[in-house]
Amino acid sequence: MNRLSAEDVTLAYDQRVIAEQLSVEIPDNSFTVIVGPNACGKSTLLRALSRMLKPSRGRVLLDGQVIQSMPAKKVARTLGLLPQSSIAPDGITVADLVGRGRYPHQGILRQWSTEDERVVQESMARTGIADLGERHVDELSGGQRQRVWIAMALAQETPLLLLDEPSLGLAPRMVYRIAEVIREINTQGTAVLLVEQNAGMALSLADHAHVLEVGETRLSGPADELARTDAVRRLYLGEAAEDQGAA
Amino acid sequence: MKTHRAVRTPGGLSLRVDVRTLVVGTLLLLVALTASVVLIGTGDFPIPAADVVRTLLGEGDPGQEFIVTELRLPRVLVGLLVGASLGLAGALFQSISRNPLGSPDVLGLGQGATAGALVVIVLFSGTANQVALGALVGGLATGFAIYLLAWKRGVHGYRLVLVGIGVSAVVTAVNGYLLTKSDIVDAARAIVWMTGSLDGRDWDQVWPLLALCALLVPLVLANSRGLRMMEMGDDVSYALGVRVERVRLVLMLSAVLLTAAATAASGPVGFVALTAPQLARRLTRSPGPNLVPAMCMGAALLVSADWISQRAFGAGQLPVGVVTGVLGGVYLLWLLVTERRAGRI
Ligand SMILES: Nc1ncnc2c1ncn2[C@@H]1O[C@H](COP(=O)(O)OP(=O)(O)O)[C@@H](O)[C@H]1O
Ligand SMILES: [Mg+2]
Repeated sequence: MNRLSAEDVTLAYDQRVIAEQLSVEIPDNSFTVIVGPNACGKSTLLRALSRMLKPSRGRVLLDGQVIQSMPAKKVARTLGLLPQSSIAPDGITVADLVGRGRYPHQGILRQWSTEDERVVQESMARTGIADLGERHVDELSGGQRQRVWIAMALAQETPLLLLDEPSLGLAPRMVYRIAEVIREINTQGTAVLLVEQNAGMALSLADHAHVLEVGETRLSGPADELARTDAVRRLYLGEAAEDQGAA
Repeated sequence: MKTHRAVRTPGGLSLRVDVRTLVVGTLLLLVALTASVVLIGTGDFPIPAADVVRTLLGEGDPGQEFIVTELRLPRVLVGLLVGASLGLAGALFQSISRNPLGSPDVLGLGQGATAGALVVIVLFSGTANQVALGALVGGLATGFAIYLLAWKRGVHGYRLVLVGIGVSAVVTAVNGYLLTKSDIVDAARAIVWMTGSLDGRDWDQVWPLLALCALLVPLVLANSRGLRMMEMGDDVSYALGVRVERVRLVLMLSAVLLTAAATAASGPVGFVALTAPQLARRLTRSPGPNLVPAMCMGAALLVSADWISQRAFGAGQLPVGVVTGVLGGVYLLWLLVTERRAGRI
């Protein structure tokens, strides 16, 4: 069953149209990647899927309901998002930041339950940062910091997780590490939608892929099939190899 | 260092308590109350602290009771409330703008309230209550203008600070113009008002401010968990289920109201809103908006500053705004220097 889907959406900021008639489906437990050049609208699509941007045409459904009509906290318990930009508050510790992912499960009278504590520990273990709990986030390496943010999104305990370029700007070794973590998250039963610059890695990780710009069109389908497509190989996989070499 | 503890009951109730923040808040509150007692005892007719406490508990002699409850207590209460309001408003604005400079002083809310007061003093020669009302309206109008100008799909930190600085400059110019247009009596009155002072404040100033705080403080605290999330950026907090725009609007409106009402009661007391939240956060060492500690710190700062001014220069000689201005100015310089060293400016 499709947990999350965008049906023929047109995405625009004010009058400026970014993408037209885009459709994406995220079934339970699936692993989907979105690939495309800079500024083609990948983040914008994630914003629409997570109800931050209302599509100017078409609609986004979460568990069969129009996402805009659902209560904010209910959406946040079903759909996690790690956006491209996030700010670690001054002087915050790793455990504290990961703990903030528990927000949608909390309330004024339920501020910090034993369940919260358990999930935070578990999320840190799953991302390999269990022993960093008391460290300050601003003194970590880029790769560690990114895993802290992933752990925060995991602590949200959502069956669906959208990740916007979590390995951007990291050294190749770290990119690989992050990819492992994400694959593991998916194996343990979370549906993942990953936006990724590195097309080679993205297509090898995922079941489904959407390539947002292939000449004048878009391609969607099983990831391994797309990876064999001539246009994709020419436009993305060659470039990706160079990128890796340069980084 | 991990200092927070969870308090849990069998019914599934759980509260999160940061031990260090609790201790700091309690100590600041004690400082504020102690300073208040000492301040009530200070003046042309000194009263020992023990007698002040006895009188406040309703067991003093009638002579002292008049001085304490009618003359000095309302003045000190105005000081506590103004300090707490400014501390809270400062913490809210700094957290929303994610910038220690994003405080009401820098954003020009104090100047806006001053403009409202000056209009009443200079153009209408209004009464004290009308001046307070003018200040309230001026502060609200300025807050509204800043919000409109800084709003573009959500208010963002730097834009808020920059727009605020611009608005502040314009309003300051207007204030200067109003002063040049005034006759000498009004000008003298305006200047005294503009330094920020607790002299001659009585129960008429206490009640409206107390009522507003009783309404806004719980409202603000109810929204503070969302504000904590918003420090991580709009997108992250939105993804966590915070209704970002609503929380921000409610909190900004509260902060503007608190600043305007405090300014209406005492005139623009400079720098408390800027310094109190930063000092509080350095003591608690806790991330997050630190709203309650900032509030306690504001109250303690203002009352202490008033006591310093009375001790050093005698009752009614030096308005409290001058002392907070000097202390706050030194702090601001220190902040700019250290932030610069840390490479954040
Ligand atoms: N808040 C916004 N307002 C207006 N235009 C935007 C906004 N965010 C992004 N854009 C524009 O939309 C286009 C797609 O951006 P984005 O979705 O971030 O691309 P990608 O994530 O694929 O790099 C870009 O041209 C960008 O300039
Ligand atoms: Mg992007």
